[in-house]
Amino acid sequence: MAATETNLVTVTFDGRELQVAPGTPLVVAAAEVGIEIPVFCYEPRLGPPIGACRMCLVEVEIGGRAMPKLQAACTMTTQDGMVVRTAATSAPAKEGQDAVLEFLLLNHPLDCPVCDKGGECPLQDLTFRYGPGTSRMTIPKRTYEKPLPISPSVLIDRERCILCYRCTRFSSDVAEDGELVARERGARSVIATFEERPYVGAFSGNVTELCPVGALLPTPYRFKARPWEIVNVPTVCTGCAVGCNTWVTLREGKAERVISRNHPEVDEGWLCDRGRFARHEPLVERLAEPLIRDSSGLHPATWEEATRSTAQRLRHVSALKGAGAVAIVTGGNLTNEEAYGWAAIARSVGARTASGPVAAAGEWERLDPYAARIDDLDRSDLIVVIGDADVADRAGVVDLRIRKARRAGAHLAIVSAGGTILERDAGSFVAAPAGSAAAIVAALAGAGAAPAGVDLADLGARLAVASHPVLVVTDPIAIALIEQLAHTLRLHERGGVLPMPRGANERGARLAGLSGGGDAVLAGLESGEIRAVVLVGLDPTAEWPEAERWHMALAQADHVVTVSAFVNSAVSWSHIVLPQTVDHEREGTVTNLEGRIQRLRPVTKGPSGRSDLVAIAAIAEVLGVPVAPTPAKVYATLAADLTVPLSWSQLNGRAPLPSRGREARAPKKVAAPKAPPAPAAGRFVLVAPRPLFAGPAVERTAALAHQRAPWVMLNHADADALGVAEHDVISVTHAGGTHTGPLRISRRLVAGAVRINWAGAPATGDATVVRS
Amino acid sequence: MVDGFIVTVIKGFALVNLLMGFFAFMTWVERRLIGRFQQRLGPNRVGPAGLLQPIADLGKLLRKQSMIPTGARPRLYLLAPFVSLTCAIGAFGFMPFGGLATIPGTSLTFHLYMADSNVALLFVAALGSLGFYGLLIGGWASGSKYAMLGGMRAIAQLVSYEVAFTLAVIGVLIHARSLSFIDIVHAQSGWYWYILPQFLGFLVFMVAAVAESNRPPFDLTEADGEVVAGYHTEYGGMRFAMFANAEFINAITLSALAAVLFLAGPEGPLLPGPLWMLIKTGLFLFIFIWLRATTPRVRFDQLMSLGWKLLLPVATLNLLVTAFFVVYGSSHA
Amino acid sequence: MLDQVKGFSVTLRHLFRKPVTQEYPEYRRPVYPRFRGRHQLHRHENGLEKCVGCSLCAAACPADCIRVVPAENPVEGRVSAGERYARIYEINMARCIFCGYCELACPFDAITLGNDFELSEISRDALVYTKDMLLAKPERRTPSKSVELYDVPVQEMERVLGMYDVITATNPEGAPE
Repeated sequence: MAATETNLVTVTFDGRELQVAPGTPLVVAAAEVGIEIPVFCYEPRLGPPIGACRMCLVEVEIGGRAMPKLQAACTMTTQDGMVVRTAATSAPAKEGQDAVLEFLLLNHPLDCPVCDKGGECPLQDLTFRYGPGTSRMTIPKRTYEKPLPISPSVLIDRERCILCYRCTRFSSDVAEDGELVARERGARSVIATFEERPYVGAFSGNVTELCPVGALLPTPYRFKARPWEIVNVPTVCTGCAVGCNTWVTLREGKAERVISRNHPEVDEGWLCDRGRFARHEPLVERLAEPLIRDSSGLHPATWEEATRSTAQRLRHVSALKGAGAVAIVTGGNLTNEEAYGWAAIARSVGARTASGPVAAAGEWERLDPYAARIDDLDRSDLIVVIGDADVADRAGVVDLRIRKARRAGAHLAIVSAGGTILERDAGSFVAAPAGSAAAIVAALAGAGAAPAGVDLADLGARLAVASHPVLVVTDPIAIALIEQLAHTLRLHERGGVLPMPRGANERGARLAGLSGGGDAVLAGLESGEIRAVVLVGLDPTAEWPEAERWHMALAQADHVVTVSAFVNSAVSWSHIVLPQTVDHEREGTVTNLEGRIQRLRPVTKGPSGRSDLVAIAAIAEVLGVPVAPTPAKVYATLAADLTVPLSWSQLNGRAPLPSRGREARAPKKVAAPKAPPAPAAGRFVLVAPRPLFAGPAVERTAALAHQRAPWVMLNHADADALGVAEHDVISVTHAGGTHTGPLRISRRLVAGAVRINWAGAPATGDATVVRS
Repeated sequence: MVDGFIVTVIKGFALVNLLMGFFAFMTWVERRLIGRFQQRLGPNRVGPAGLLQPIADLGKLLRKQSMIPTGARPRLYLLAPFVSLTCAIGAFGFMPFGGLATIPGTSLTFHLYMADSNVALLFVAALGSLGFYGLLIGGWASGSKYAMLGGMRAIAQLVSYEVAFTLAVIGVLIHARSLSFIDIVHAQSGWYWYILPQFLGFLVFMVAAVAESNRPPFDLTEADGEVVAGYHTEYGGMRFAMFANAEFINAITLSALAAVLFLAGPEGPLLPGPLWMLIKTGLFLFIFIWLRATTPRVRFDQLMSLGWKLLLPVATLNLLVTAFFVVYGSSHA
Repeated sequence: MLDQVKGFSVTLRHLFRKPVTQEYPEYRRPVYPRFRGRHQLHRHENGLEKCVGCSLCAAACPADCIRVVPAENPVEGRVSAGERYARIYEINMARCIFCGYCELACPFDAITLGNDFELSEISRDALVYTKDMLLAKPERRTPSKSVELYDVPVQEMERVLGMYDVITATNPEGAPE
């Protein structure tokens, strides 16, 4: 989308001439000559400007003739010979600007001292800079009940709303959830949800950053701090593999809120609600000191003792039983430096490592020649999403990016069992049996037949002719299959595959040396080959499939070392427990799904007061492996292996992603996967991908409780057959437990399947559904 | 020894203690007087009317940290305050307080002076000059440039005013024909006080005395703005107290000397000798304090030129005139 | 030369005048009504605190000695008259320079500076005044001069300022900017 520089037009702003491309909004063009035209409703990320607030009024002359009325500089675009006078040089424009601000402030309550936006409020700033000094309002202002919780995490104060419609445009045009609308009309307009129901959606928090006044504010930050009492620390969210850039607001040593730092290539200024609101609090539940188990249970120990004991046990087991008797298992959310440290330890004791639950689904480096970037979605003309999981559940803001691409004209094709949020707006939808993503991919690659009843012809045709297709596979299938499909489709020459790793830094962990899958470790534990296990930041019985088997297998191991932030079930039978730092307490780098390395900056100190890398370095030292205790030094070692090495300081600000070469070799053919077994009679196939709002941080955040509310989804035919209607409470019992919630009916969900938002250990297979 | 060894020792002991006590009292008097000159109260909080202020000051000084600066020469540094104080107290030893006194109720008599030396005046002048050694040694041995400068200035000041001081005193000497204080006092008996014939000499003596005792307006050696605190910059606590002590006792000595030389010391009607001595010394001390309250500090070059260019010629003139009149008078009498 | 002697007579004259020392603490000199001393947090007549914890005083403070942590007014037992109240309000008197900017900044006249300046303590911690200490009635130990005499009422100021127009009208060049 190169800018056509050939035909520039001349526009004059306040006497300053400018050559600019035609069709540029005047607000943007004026900024190029250094003239600020104040705006409220203009936000390019929300789509085309609407000129609702009238703040940007300017006097415009075209072809020598002055336009009779003042024009909104956000909707007016540049034409040749245009002469624009802003309020700085034009009295009518100044009068118009003053009048607009006066009108906006007429009914705006005198809330500044009690409003959280005070100090960082565009209305305050623009009134101070451009507004009239006095008000002529003498009659009482209109009032509403305030503040109203529009959801447990967002409050609305309707008195302060200036009706710029940024929030409604976000809801309808960006998140496309249709939750926030403007009700009533004229002076009685209010922002509301349908029937005052809570705003449930993965991106509701973004309206609090969009709102230019204190009308929409986040509940957890209410009355916490003023802008002059805080420090904003630039870091990166580690909730998922996208790595949205954030500012963490710090007051008196406590992280109070998270706002977006806007990396245009990664998150474009949006955050999902999990990244925004989830916190690993309360601190009282955090592990603060190492624990060692002796005959009478777990007791506090010093760091020295704990790290030495860990190293000695690992060395002892590996010396006694040989290589492969130790396993180091991580959850894919370590920093690169921590992963490097553990990999060095693993090498020295010959340990097996794992950074994901299934080895085959974790070999992300196979996709490197075909890997797409997140902003490739902007340029694509065909986006194919295969899998039962929603894109929002795996990689929050990528969902918003896909929707943006679709609005720009790309064709969105979805192949899934149905019931996802994205398919409502899909261009084409192909229903596939639950759990058949691997088969679909294999079929598209020509390595197997499509499952029965699935017609992939249209999709195949589109894929053949697309110029920039992007493939997204949301279910965890063998990467080798995706590689095969990518090669068949020549995705290294056009478009690409967007990897969807499970943990925040799975790619980085693998690059640092922690490759391998949990299934191999589980098998080793059960066979007795693995005698010592280190679980780093992970409780496999809560987060990985085959929870029961893990439980039994870990009980048999001789030594279990857990590195964990909270007390979880793994801690209760570990021999050594080391406290871990979480999100805002970490320093280091993480690699996002594109392969972009971004820096984490520590905001607070954890309860233990130490960084994890120091403990890892201590363990490594006992084992005789040199690992530096500071992230910068470890990164320097890591960066040497990169193809395009970026230095520690080059990762400041908005981290770049150097382009890689894309030479692909023909991959080995992979056998077609087996179709999942059909369920027994009377049972349903369980579709339970891990939802976005799951995990220990989300469970401890009260503001997100409403996002975790359980629900059950059935096909309308199945619902009729069971005799249940929408909102009836249904119980779904499966291998991992029972899930109870109100029913939602989906027309697209395949018959015979039940979809639930189960946040426990991943469950597959079949389930019974009863009305409860 | 005019009274025998033991009595002299007792007298000496009493004299030193009374002198020290008087000094302490005088600090209170000085501060209150200067306050009244400045239309304000002096210290009046510690004790009745502030009379325990000197005790409080003593307590404070005692509790200060005693230290030796790194660049100092320890032995000389420790020696200097003692030199100053010893010479100051020693110079007071010969002051006459009267003639023979009887202990009431007994028949024991003793003289109200330590000894009748025939070089008393010379001795006092010598000890006064010797006291400056303390300043010089202290200034130099402190190892600090301000102390050094202060010590140098003290010596320059001493040298400048010592000659004029001695010449003024010689005027009295010519009249009295003796260096002994007792003789000088007796020579002034009968209201023939030397302040009248020796008025010029008296003025020179007063100015030189103020300069000799480092009192304002001639206190440049310890001027804060010039040399921080002069020779006693690096001294703290009791050592500083000894220097201050020495300075004021010098002033007391010079006041007593003025009383003896020009106002006939313990002579006077009605009141006993010591009381007259007290009154006359007190008068001169009052003048010292009055000078301090009134005059600004003299600049050092002005000080030198005053000493050499004004006082010395005047003192010489006074001497010559006195000598002429004494010889003329005696040749006629 | 004679001036030197006259100087001595001046000093001697002063010796016999009454000293002008005002002996504190037996005599406490009354301060002017607007003297900036110890802070005072105020309440409305109905007992609700005026302070809503907006932290503008902390923003205005040049010495950065005010700490405000706001909170939502509890449903039962409302503390302030606004949406929020100051849960923690501390002023570090050791840092305070008594400039009065907090009084100027407060939009609700919640904090004013009274006349009390006798604030010595024997530990630094005791100098961090909490909200209770600031809300409590102070021990008014410092006498102040009469308000009528020294604190000009607003109407009087307006009358004086009103004359400004007369002055500028009759003497445009002479009127100061």
